[in-house]
Amino acid sequence: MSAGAVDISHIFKSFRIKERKKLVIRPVLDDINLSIRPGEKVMIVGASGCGKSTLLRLVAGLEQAAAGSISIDGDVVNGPGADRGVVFQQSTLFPWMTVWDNIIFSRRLRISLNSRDEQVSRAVYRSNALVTLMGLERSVELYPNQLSGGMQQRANIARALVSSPKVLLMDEPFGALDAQTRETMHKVVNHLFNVEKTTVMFVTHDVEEAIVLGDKIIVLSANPGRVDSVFTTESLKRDEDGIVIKNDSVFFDFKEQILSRIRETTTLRATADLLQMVAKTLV
Amino acid sequence: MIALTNIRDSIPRWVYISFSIAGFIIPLAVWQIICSMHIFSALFLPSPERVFKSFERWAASNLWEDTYISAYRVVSGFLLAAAIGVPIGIYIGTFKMVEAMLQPINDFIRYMPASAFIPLVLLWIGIGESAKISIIFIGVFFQIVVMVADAVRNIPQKYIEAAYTMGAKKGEVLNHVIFKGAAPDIFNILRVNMGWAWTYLVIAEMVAADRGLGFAILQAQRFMDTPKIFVGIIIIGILGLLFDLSFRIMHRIFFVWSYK
Repeated sequence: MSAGAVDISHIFKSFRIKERKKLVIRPVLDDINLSIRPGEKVMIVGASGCGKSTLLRLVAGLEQAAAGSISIDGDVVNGPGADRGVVFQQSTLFPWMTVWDNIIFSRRLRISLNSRDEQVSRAVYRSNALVTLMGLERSVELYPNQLSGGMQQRANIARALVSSPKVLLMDEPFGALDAQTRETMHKVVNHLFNVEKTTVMFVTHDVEEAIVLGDKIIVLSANPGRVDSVFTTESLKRDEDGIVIKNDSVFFDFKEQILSRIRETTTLRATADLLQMVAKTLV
Repeated sequence: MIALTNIRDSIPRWVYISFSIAGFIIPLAVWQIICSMHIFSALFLPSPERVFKSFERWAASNLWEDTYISAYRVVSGFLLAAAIGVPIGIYIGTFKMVEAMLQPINDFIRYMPASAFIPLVLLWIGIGESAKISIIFIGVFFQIVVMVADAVRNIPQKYIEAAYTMGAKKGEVLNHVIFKGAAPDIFNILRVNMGWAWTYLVIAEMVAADRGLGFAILQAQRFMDTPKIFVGIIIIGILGLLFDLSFRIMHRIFFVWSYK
């Protein structure tokens, strides 16, 4: 599969939650419009609770929007499917399968007794290629619980990519890893993004991670989530491997710009909340 | 010095085994001591020696036949309950509609004593082997259903979602995620219920039996043959232990991943 244009138009989403024993409807996403070009690596950042994970789950088809539509290359999303690979913050490798069986899982689902040999060998070839790309050669025979957190996430990424999805959705995939492992994962993923031309939507709360891995950074404002601002990483300095140079004033300024947007959206929200509270007590 | 009383700390294997053996030896010794003090009449508490003699006598006549027929009844009733109960439990734990329909009635029947069904079983099924098997079936079936349903509900949602995002269809999720994931727990549930099935044996053999360990115990009671009651109970205990052990070994072989 190639291409992978994501079109998100007028997405609304709210959750029903209990607040002081009353059922209230809390808007999470409010008129989200995004258009992502094939192959683009889009990072979504924002304060916690801004609905960035919800947005990703909507694209994955794991949640239904209240209004609006999402389409991939013109096909409207109405449920999860193999054209969108997902990597979650917590490993979702099946503990009852070896790493290899986990990685080849989605391909094996479509292989039956009367499948052609060519199809089988393509699945094995693709899985092997991803194992090598993610540096999992020595882990394939192990069970997921025998791997470190970093290795588990490598396997999760390989598994999500094995059926060559049009879009790779990553929901804070390195959020639970230690700083050092995270650094290594950034290198691995940067290389991966160069090899695999798939479109990526990547949710993170780590602005530096977003800058290092993304072409485009989208800041969502919180409560309800709206697209606040969009940044592109084109202007940043890169080394010969195309990796963003971090100890550089351009980088710092850029990071500060994004952080200040996130801060502003949260303070704006806090002020609005305060005003609302005052209004309530007055009425 | 080995620390033996640290919370959840493991202890050397030989110490563990020694304590396990002591757990059997000490009650046996206490039993022997009480008997040699002649506090109770031998009718109430026969000495280990007399119990062993009774065992020898029984073994010379029809102990193996009794054991065989009892094991046959227990295993048949259990297998029947497992074969029907496991799929039903899986469906209850997976589909809310099935849960709504079957869980309340299952819970309702689950609390009824299996022994109370004896008159009905006699009436409906008669006095053959199937009557005894039915009692064991009634004793464990409803427990298997509710426990399997719980095990299935414990499969984390994240695995089900992950399978869907990899293009799995409903049936494939049921087969590759829900069943495979719950399998070790289901197997353990079967192990526990196998134990319970043995405890229903005496009740089952109240139903017009003429052979079997439970029947022999009931008959020994009628003839005040206390040593034989002891033998019968101990044999059932040993059989239960052996079945339990083989289930544990099979669990280790079938579900290697759950020990990693």
